[in-house]
Amino acid sequence: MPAGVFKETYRADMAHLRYPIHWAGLVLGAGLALTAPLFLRGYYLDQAILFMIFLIAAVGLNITLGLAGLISLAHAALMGAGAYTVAMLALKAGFNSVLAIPLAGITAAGLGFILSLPSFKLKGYYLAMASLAAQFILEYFYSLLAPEQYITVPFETKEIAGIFFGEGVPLYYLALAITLVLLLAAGNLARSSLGRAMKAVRDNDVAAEIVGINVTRTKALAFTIGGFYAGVAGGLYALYSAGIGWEGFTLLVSIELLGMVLIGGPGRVVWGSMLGVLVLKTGWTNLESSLNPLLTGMGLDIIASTAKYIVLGTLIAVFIILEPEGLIAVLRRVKEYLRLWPYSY
Amino acid sequence: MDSKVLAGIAVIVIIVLAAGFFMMQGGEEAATETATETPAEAPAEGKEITINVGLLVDETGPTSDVGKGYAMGAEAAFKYFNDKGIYTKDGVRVKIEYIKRDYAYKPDQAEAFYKEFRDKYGVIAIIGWGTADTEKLADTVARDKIVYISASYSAKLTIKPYNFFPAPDYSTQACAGVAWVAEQMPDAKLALLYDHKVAYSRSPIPAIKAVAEALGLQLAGDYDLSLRATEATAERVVSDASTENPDVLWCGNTISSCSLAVKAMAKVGLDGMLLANVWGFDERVVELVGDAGKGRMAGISPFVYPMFAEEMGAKGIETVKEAARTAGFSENDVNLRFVQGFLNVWLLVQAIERTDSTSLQEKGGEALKAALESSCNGEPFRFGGLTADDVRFCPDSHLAHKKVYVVVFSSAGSLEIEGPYEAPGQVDCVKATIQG
Repeated sequence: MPAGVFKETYRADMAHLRYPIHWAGLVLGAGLALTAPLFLRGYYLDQAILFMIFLIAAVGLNITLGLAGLISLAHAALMGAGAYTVAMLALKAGFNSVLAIPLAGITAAGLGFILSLPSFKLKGYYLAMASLAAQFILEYFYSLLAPEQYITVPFETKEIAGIFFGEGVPLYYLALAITLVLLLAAGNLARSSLGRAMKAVRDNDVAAEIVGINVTRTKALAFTIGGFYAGVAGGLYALYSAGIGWEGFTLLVSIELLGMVLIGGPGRVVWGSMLGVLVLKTGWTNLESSLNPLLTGMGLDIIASTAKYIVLGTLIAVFIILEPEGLIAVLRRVKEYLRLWPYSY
Repeated sequence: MDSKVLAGIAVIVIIVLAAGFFMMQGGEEAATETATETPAEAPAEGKEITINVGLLVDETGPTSDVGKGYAMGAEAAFKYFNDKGIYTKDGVRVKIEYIKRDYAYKPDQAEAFYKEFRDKYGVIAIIGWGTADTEKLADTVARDKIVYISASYSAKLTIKPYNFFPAPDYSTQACAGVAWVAEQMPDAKLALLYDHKVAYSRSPIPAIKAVAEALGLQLAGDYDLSLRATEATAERVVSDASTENPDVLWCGNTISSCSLAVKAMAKVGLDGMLLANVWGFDERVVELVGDAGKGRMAGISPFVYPMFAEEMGAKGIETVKEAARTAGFSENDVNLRFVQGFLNVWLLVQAIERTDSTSLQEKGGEALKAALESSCNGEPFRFGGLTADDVRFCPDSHLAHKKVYVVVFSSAGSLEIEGPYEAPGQVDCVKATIQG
């Protein structure tokens, strides 16, 4: 009898669910996600929806940055493209906001493809600068679309068959369904030939080209797919929010998303992104609501207003220097330790 | 069929069934749960109920130059009225628990805090701040039946069912201000300085243009002056405007950038007057602008400045000062901003005093709205003479009144209050703004 779980085929070795603990995790996770509205009320259910929106966006950036190694500082602007697509279609054409979400993804994917063009010639800092320029251009464009700082997304466009998808349980399940599909797709992408091509381009694009990978196509796809995810996240955000404005998709949000990927685990598209969003979005939001009044009360207003960026900057720096593989690598070490405990190897 | 495929189908079916179940059952349950969290607790033997109220402020963002004083005034009012005792019509004491959040003038953050107020604390009223966030949330607060008393006096809010403020809207205020200008200089040329990306700054512009035309004033263009303007940018903008040789500059921003604009006028040698919106001018200009502003700056205010309250017989200032002392603030903290914050809470308190405990508990914000609108044909809201006129709200229009004061920074270096002036009847200033 073998001592452990052994895989005898490549298919079994590449499966999503390889060990009993994976099945246990799936059952527990699915159970929690499906029954969340029973124990998560109002505010916390809202937090769960926001978590999923940012998770989708972070997964998109993780595909572009983590898998393909293409730095993008315009991911929030791509999210904005999705949000504005939904909002403008709803406001100007009376289009249903829920049904507009796929169009939001397609619009942002198109913009993502355009953003990929500089990556054919540029790398590293220069590519970062190009995406930074794109972020500012799009921000300016959005400010022209909504000069009053916001566009409201009409309530009536958020309904299907009398069910209001703008908040609460219906929005939670809609976001959950979209998130699960996109996470599954992202998980599969990472282990597909395209995902391996992306990793090859990330690790050494010259070598990748020599072994026959179409580097240009791979880079374009990385930006386009990442853009699609950002667009869907933006579309969901437009559904979630009473109104959207350019201030919701600024460079700071792009940096926040970058932080989520770098801290969670670049290249670990699903789990890395999940950890990053959990720490920087959900965790920070809850910490902030108790920390900021405390700091303001102590007269430390300036620190209160900048605390988020101080913490974000520090965390990014710490992880880049000490753990470039992100929180996921830390957890993997803990898991390995526990798996072997009480033995050291 | 492959067992894994079957398992996948089973998972999808479970998701769909669970979603359907919770949408029908869980959704209702969640709503009930929220309702039990809501505000008003059952009156015990001591006959006291507690309501939760949100306080949304900007103490660290681009409008914190005026936001800090407003927050102080609102907090002082909450503490003062709680200590003094707030009683409903049927004699039940109401304690207000307020939850303060600084959203740094970011509309998205305001929405996040709004959801926290609503879903976590079950507030029935909110004392709010900025224009973009208040306008953006207006339909949501109406849907949630939460009374929203804002520091934004946007004309667009006067037609929203749950939005209130104890002052004329920005457009009506500006129209009264332009009428004052026309009275001083009938052929004046008016240049408009405001942040083109900020809803507050943009708010009264259509009304100003309409009324200026109606009163025979000339317009000398729109100039983009940022809320976060520096000396250099203010100088550039004023320099641009000076090419049209305007007699009057309208400043639609807050006090920091408006003060810089006046300094810039002196620097580029532009003679004339700068008239500022309510948030662009207060007692601090004397210090902020100094000699550069003497005789060339004025501000609109629908409220009596504390420094003029005594001579104008506005006894309400005694209440404000007493509250400031109770809350541990000095009398020097009591300025126009403090009064603005205080009055918004005072309006809420007066609305509570016009409800009965049963309605307040059962209907929450809906009861407060009814109490506020009872002033339409009934007793108006009064604040000891601190507002330019009595305050009334009607169900179809929440325009409180139409009068403002104009406070002038005189050549002698002191502030002088004039008015009240009423917005001219030739133009419907609210409509002009709403129609854009």
